[in-house]
Amino acid sequence: MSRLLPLSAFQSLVLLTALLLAMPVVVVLGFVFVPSGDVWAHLASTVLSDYIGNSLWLMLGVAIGTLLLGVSTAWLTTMCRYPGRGIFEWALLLPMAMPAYIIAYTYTGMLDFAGPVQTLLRDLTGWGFGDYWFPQIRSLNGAVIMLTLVLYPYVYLLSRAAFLNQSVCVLDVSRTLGNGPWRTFFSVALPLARPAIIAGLSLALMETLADYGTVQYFGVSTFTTGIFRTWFGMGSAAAAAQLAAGLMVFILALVILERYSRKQARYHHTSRRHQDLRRFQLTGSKAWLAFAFSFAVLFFGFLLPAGQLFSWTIHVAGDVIDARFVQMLLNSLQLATLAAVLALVLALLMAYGQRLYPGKAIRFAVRLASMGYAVPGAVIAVGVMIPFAWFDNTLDSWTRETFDYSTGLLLSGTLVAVLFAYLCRFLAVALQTVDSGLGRITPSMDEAGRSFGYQPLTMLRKVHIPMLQGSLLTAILLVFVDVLKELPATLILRPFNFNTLAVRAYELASDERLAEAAPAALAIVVAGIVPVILLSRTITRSRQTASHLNDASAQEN
Amino acid sequence: MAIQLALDNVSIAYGNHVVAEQVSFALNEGEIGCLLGPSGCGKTSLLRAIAGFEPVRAGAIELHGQIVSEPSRHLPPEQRHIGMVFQDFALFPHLTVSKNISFGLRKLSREARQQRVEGLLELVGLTAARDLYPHQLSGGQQQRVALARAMAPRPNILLLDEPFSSMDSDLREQLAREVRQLLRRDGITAILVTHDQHEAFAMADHIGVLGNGRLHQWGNGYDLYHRPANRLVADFIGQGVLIPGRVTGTNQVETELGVVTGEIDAHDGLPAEVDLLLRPDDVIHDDESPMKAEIVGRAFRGAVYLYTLKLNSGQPVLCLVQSHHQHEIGEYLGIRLEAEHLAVFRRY
Repeated sequence: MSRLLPLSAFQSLVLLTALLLAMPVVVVLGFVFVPSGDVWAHLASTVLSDYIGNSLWLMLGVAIGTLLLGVSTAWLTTMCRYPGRGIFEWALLLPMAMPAYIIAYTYTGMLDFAGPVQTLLRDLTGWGFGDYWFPQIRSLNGAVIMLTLVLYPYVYLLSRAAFLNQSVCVLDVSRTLGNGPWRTFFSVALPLARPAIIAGLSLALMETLADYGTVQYFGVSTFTTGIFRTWFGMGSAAAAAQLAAGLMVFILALVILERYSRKQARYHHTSRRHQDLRRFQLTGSKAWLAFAFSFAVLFFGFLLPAGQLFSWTIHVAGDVIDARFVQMLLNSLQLATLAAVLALVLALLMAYGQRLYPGKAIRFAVRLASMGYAVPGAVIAVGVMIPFAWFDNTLDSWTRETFDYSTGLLLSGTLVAVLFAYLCRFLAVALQTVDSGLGRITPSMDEAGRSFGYQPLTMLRKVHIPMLQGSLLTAILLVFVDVLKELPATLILRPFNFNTLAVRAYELASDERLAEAAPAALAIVVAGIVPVILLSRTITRSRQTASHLNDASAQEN
Repeated sequence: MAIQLALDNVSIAYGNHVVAEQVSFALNEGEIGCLLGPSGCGKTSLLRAIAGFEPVRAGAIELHGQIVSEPSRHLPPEQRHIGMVFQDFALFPHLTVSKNISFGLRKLSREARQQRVEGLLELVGLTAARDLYPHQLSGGQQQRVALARAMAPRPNILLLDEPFSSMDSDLREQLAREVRQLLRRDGITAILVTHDQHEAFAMADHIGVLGNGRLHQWGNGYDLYHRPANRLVADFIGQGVLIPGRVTGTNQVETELGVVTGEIDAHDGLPAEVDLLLRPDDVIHDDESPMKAEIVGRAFRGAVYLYTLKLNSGQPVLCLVQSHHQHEIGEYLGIRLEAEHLAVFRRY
């Protein structure tokens, strides 16, 4: 395929795209060196310690919460047998479909003073306002709980994979050496799965830091809310960018932690030749305890909030679902589709670039372009807004001076800016999927094709496209859903009066019109189930392989 | 000598699928036993039942004078005081060699633990590798660490599950002999599971041949080869063919190749019509012999050729001939029979 384009042109196209996509992060980091004067000093002396402190507490709380829920459910579903295990195995991923800001406002609606829980409590006891204490959901601790409920699946997924890959013999050895099941779990299984668990944890914490909707709604000051406040409230782009850079330091630490853990995980991989998963059969009260625990996690993480959204939607559907709602739905779908297709095209460009011209330059470019996924939407938004506004202003004043004509805003405040931000943030999702699909087409297949005398284009048509189809579709779907859920970048960059589902749900919820926000929120959740289904299909498949192995070894015995 | 391990009519089943039925054998202290059989014969399930990973459906397992498995009673593996070496070694990848070995020694004092680890490192020749991690070791070294780790707590019995199967085939027998020496030196009772008879011969004092969940014979290598208890054992151990014959007297069987004389182990009475097991070394090449057979196949084995011959009736037999006797396919070879033991089975 090297004859499709001259080598240097193709390579420079890949490099250029990568540089462009890395621009927001580079801009934000570059602002560390731009003096912002009083604003920064003001921030540092007043709210900065709050931002850092709250962000750290949030991370600590979410870390503890996701570890407890994620590791325990992963262990139960992989190593034990109890009622409902097969369903929990994939259903425990469902909370991933629930964006944190949506679960946050749903629980607020349920637990607030006027909500059903407190109303019931008052009806039962005859208490009035101020007569009793009730935990305040809109607090730092509330945010920890909300984020934990929707982010534990990251830990669940990775530790589950780790437990599944552990040679069961290793656990058996520990038992022959005199350790009971509990000691075996803590002295062997857990240390072996540690790198995977930490990798999952760092993903969950990246999401925690990136969250804007929940903390904003709960009135907790963190980096992301600080960026918004500095940008819109104080009008200081430089200070906002510097806050964003501060946030990036945390993110970078997590990225490094995640990379390091994955590397470690390779060494912690034991031989898999004798992988027969004989799950511990739980009986009696233990089995029901396992069931109750798994169900509670699923219930509070998904079933309850989704049910509440559903009931609100039924309630308000007649009033809320009108022409405006349909327009907003179409906006969202169009935007998400466009972003997904663009992301796919760029991902193909990068993936083929890497395949056809393996080398340091391309590898660096691809890494640069995939960096965005770890970067919070608020940071990307700031990094997009600053250069785009500069470009617009410069162009505008130049044309005005030269031609006495105003170009207005060409990039900033238009859909171009929004789309560009999406690409920066979500290209990595598409790239990863396309890459793994491409990985299945081994170089020897290309060589085999050549040996039959196929031209590169024929190979593309006859082998690559049919083999890639599934991955391409998955890539589009994943980006599509991610865009649909995205809130902070859209909020900052959208054109005036341009609404999406996420923005509308957020705005209505902020105005305490919780029930009216439900249809939009429910639509997002329903869309979010799609990637969960994809994931759970992979899980079912791996389980079939595992049970297949199980059968095979049972026969062997 | 005290009996260290005894299985009494043990049956194992998963649901309705019976994998081992009425298996009985015993092993004295310090002896090495082997469960030999093709894959799917139930040998690994038996080993796992001895270890305590599988419950027994019927019968009992007695270890060091204590009943550890019965249908109504099951001692969990961690209370049986056994050692186990797995097919894939199952070393703990997050621990160093010496930490792996000391894993099962947490009840010992620090000094005693250190001393035991030192001793074992020396025994298996890995003193220099003590601080390495498993992924830094070769396969043979990993194997020795796994062995040392299992031996460390001085278990009642050491269970080895296909411990050499991941080794190169030319290393296996040598390793099996090495391991036998190590176990002997420490006086450890052990039981090995394998499908490789050469491994079994190299390592074990007693070998049990399993097929379809049943123990068909329990004996030493010589007996299994020369006095197989039934067709299945005869077929699984070594090479050979069964040819039709007729018992004509005590220790005499008449076949197409004439009358053979040898000690007969009568397993199931002595019917007149039998099948006689002929090993390749029972058929002797003799140019003087009036008996001729056509050569239809030939395999070079270094010192010897293994010829496949066709008798007049079309019955094939195997014959080992020193390799300096070269004969071509289609030639006729003079042969005679010579056997000390005659293995005969009732003809169906």
